[in-house]
Parts: sequence; C-alpha cells; structure tokens
Amino acid sequence: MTLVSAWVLIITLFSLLYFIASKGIAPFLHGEVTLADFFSGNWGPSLSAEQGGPQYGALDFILGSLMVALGSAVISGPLGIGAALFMTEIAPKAGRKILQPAVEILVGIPSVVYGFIGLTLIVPALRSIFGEVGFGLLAGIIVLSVMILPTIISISADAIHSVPQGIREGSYALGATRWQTISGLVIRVAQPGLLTAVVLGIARAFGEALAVQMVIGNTADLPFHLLKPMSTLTSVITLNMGNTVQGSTYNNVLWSMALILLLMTLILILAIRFIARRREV
Amino acid sequence: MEKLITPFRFQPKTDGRSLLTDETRPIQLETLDLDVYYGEKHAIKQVNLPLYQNTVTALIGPSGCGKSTFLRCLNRMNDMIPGTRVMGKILVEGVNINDSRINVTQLRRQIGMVFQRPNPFAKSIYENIVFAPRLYGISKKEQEKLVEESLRKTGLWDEVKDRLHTSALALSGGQQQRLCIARAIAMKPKIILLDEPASALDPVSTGKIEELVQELKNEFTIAIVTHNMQQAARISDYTAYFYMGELIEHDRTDVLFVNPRKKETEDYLTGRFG
Ligand SMILES: Nc1ncnc2c1ncn2[C@@H]1O[C@H](COP(=O)(O)OP(=O)(O)OP(=O)(O)O)[C@@H](O)[C@H]1O
Ligand SMILES: [Mg+2]
Repeated sequence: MTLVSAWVLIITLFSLLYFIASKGIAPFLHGEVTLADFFSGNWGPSLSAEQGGPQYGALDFILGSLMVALGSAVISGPLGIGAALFMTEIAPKAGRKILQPAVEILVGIPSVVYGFIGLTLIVPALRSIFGEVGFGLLAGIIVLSVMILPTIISISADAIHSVPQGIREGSYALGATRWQTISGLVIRVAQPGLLTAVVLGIARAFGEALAVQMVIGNTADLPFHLLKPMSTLTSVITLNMGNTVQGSTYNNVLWSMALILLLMTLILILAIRFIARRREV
Repeated sequence: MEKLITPFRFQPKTDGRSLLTDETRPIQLETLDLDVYYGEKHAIKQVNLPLYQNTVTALIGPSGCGKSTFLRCLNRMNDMIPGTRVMGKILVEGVNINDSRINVTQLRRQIGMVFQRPNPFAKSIYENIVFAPRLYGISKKEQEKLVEESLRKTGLWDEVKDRLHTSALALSGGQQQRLCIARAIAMKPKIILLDEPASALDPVSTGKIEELVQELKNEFTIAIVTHNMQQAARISDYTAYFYMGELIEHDRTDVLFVNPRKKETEDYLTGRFG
C-alpha cells in the first residue's frame, strides 16, 4: 500500500516536471523567443511587429521575485531567529503559552487575508508616509515578511531545541552567563538548522503569488526602488495565465517562467539538503 | 572569595553529626542544614557535610538518593531548574554562597563541575579550553600557556598536542571527559565537583580518570559522585553515604569501608541492600 502511494507520488512529481519543462522549453525550441530575449528586460507581449514586439523579456520579474524573497528574509531572518531564541532560551513559559499559539495561528491564516491586510493597511500607510503610490517592493517585502515569519520561528525553535542540554550545562558550569552561552555556543551549534529555517522562508516567499500580487503594483519595472511598483514571476503568471491562449507563444513564455520558479525552488531545496548533510558530519 | 559579596560571616558548625571532630584539616566548603525541594519533593534533608581542603570526598548511595542534587547545590547549578528551593547554608571560607546576593557566574568560576556524560563543545580542543577564560579577558600568549598547562595536568597533552585545532568531538569518550576536566581546571577553581565522571567510560579510561583525580587533589578540593564502591575506596579520602536525601554516614574512607558505624551503611556496602 505504501509502495503504491510512493509510486503515485513519484509519478506525479515526474509528470509534473516533464509537463512544465516541455511547455517551458517550447518557445525556445520553436525559435519564437531566444534565450537572450527571455533574459532581457524588454517586456511587451502585446506590442505589434512595427513597434518591435512582441517582446518576452522576463528579467524584471526574475529579479523582482529574488528581491522580494531576499528582502523579506533579511527582515524575517533575524526577527524569527530572535523570537525563536526568546521562546526557547529566555522565556520558555511565555514562549509555550503565547508565542507558540500565535505562530500556529499565523501559519493557518490564508494568504489572501495577508494580501488583503497589506492592501488595506500597509499600502495606504506607505502612501501617506512616503507620498508615492504605496504599491511596490516595500509593501511586498512587508507582507511576505509577516507570512514567512512563523516558518522561520518554528524551524529555528526546533533547531535550538535540539542543541544538547549538556552544552548549556557545561557552559554555565564554567561561569558563562546566559547570553554568553547563547551567543557563543547555542547559536553556533544550531547554525545549520537556523540557516535551513531562513532558506525555507526564502523558498516560501519565492513561491507566494496571491498576497504579493495584491500589493506590489504589477508593472514591468526593475525592482530596485522600494516604493515603485514592480512584478514577480508568480504575479505575472497568475495575472496572465487565464487571459492567454493555450499554446500561444505568450502562454508558453509563462510556462518558461514557471520553469524558472521551479528550478530556483529546486536549488533552494538542494541548498537545504546540503546544509542538513553538513550538520550530520 | 574576594569578589563575592560577603553579607555575613558564619561560625563553622562543629557539632553536626557529619563533621569529624577529630579532623584537623581546614574545611574548604561545608553545608549547614541543607534542604532541597523540587516542588513538593524533598530531595535533600538537613545535610551537614564538610569538604576538607585538598582531599577527595566520595558521595555514594543508591540511585535517586540525592547525590547529584547535593553536588549541584554547591555551585548553584540547581538555580537553573525551575521550582527548585535550596534552603540552609553553604559556607565557603565563611561566606554563605546559597544567598541571592552571590554572583553566581563568579562562584562557578571558583567551583567547577564535570558531568556524567562528556560534554565538549562543538569546537576545537583549543577553543574548548579557552572558551570560558576568554570571557574574562585573556591574552593570546596566556591562552596558549593555559591550554598546554591544562592539557598537561590532565595527561592529554601528548595525545592531542598535534591536533589542538581539530574538533573536540573527534576525541574518544575518555579523552573528551579529560578535556572537560582540563576545561574546568583552566578556570583555576578551588573546588571541582565530579558527577559520575567515569560511568560512561571503558575501564582503561576510567583508570586514567581515577589517577587524574588523585593528582588533582594536590591542587584542588574534590567531591566525586560514584556508583562504584571500589572506585570510592581507591580514590577518596572521605566518603559520604546518602540514602533517600539524608546523609547517613560521613567518615574517613578507610574507616567507613572497614568499620561503618551505621547498620544501613554496612548493608549498602556489603550489598545486603533493600
Ligand atoms: N529536576 C527534578 N525535578 C523533580 N525531581 C527531581 C529532579 N531531579 C531529581 N529529582 C528527584 O530527586 C531525587 C534525587 O535525585 P538525584 O538526581 O539527585 O539522585 P542521584 O543520587 O544523583 O541518583 P543517580 O545515582 O541515579 O544519579 C530523585 O528522587 C529524583 O527523582
Ligand atoms: Mg546523579
């Protein structure tokens, strides 16, 4: 029985990979789009031939995905690890009673709710503070930070929990303070697990579509300004997949973007495997 | 203990049943009416026990009788277990260290501890030894001297001098435990507490630890918990027999093992226990 489900899983996975890859590679095989075109910043799928179109450069979106994911990890990484340290090392009681349930609730909230809150609270707030449109990289980073925070907290807390108690006792017995023990030993021993937590957070942020799409503004621009609208791979795919004709070049280019997403996620997962294996040594 | 706060000075108690009145050695540490509670559980009951300077005191008794609990009071490691209450006095050179005004981290520098399971840090051998001294500021030169000195004293130097900067986790269990002892003596404590330091080790490593304890008493005062009667008899000068949280008998080891005063002690020693 388990063998059957294992096979079902493997077959599903590989047919999915095959499906996305074959669709994603199609535009390049048929010569409709060159790799150089695809990795350029020229996006204009509806431009007419006289205007030099249609153009299918996805660079803005690839970089956009990277920027929101890394940006939210920069915020949530330290915050999440700090919270995990607090609930395991500093106030285990308060951690168990307050933070743990809070984390679980945060995990359970659907992403559309995060997006909606971002849309109604964060975007207007940014607009009134900075005087720009409000939609953009910063709004996306803020919303994603909150979304990946519980992931980072719970995996970090597990990593810190698994540090052997003997290490702490040994350190205290030598006259080290709690802070010296945490910063000098606990964090060091838990480091691979903490890294895994952050990488998983990045992977999660990278794949998130709905909430991001609601707050980033969705324009084809390079994501190097915190307050300017932009797009990510996921937002472009979800916005356009339904409006394009199956089998058209435009539609296939969206599949190419999905393939890029998939490859990036695979790389992140391999990175986690690599970190985990180093931990065992 | 200059740096510890000195709230009161107490007269050492001389009429407790565990004090050996014919003993002339100076007392390094003594407990007065020590009681420990884990919540409701009364784990140590009215224990009066001295540790004499530069001697080895063995703590023996059946599992769960409170040996570790007693030991952990002496460097305030029980502070870390929530719900623990320690009552009574623990005098070190006239200072009651069981006092909330005592600087516990300073205290632990002077009363070191080694645990049953070797717990080297996931760092190099060198880093294991300088980890704590470095927290108090120590020059690079001093560090190197300290590492060599501590490793020599524990007999590890010749075994590891070529791999000081490799992971301590790659050492054998016995070597790891001696490293933990080296780490403790690098702090130059006055007292070293050992909680079954050899029970997880093979006979050869155990022998080395026993020899080491014998040597270290020239420099330190030692209390060692052990389940091994032969070991207690071989390496200690004094033995304290605990039963259900009470100190039943405390005497010179040669006296206690040959001529116990209490029937309970005799029963335990001869295995006619329970
Ligand atoms: N953290 C704790 N909370 C509650 N009870 C405890 C705790 N630690 C120890 N005890 C209890 O206190 C008593 C003394 O325990 P202790 O560990 O000091 O015994 P021990 O003599 O060291 O035993 P062993 O030889 O097995 O190591 C035991 O009954 C034990 O169950
Ligand atoms: Mg014990």
